[in-house]
Amino acid sequence: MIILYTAIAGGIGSALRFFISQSIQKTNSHARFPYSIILINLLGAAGLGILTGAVTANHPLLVIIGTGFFGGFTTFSTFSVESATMLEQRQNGKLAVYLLTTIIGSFCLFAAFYQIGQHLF
Amino acid sequence: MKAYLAVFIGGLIGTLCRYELSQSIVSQTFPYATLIENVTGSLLLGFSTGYFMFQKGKKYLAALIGTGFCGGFTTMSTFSKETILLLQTGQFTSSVIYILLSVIAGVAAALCGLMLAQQLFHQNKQQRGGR
Repeated sequence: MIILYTAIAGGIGSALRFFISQSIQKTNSHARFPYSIILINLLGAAGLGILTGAVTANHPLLVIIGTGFFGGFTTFSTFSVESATMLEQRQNGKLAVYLLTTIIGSFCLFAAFYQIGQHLF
Repeated sequence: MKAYLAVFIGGLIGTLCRYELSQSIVSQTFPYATLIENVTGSLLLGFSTGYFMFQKGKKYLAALIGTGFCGGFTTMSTFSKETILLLQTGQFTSSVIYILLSVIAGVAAALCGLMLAQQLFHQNKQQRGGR
């Protein structure tokens, strides 16, 4: 049963990611920087951090919400493709900012919210 | 609304595949499962991005495969979690290798897929136009 819930949570996470990226694209369509994917990945890392800190290691919620929802919500493939596009167009400065913001940002947020989750619950 | 349904179904299947793969590849020392998922997902999304560049009509299929399946199959949150857990257990070298391998192989795979699809389908279009 957990598999089914995990898959559905992943579908919901993906649909929510689509909604956020669509609405950010609409509000500033001229922006050529993937702010939406940065926001989504950082939010997802923070969310998974708080969840991992709050529940015990074998809790089913960790699979359903952690692997399912946050796994489906965040994306590595779009991050790679956008980086590859920047590389192809030789926008090296932009690429460096994008890579460092996403990677360091998601690590720091995960670690910080992991601590918050542990102390809060 | 149809696009959201396509993304939902794609994300559901992608998450299911990711879950099954992570259950079958279990390693206590290095998170191979997530690495494999992220690199293959990047390759597939690169290829499909290149393909759908020339197929403007297939909007829902692009949402199903690209945003849904590839997005649901790959994950940034688990990647961060595993890196932090490696760091926490003192495996500094493994965590650096994991980060570098994921990012370099992921971007390289996406670039390969993108360029392959551009070559393949761009040529196709030119040939058809020539006739």
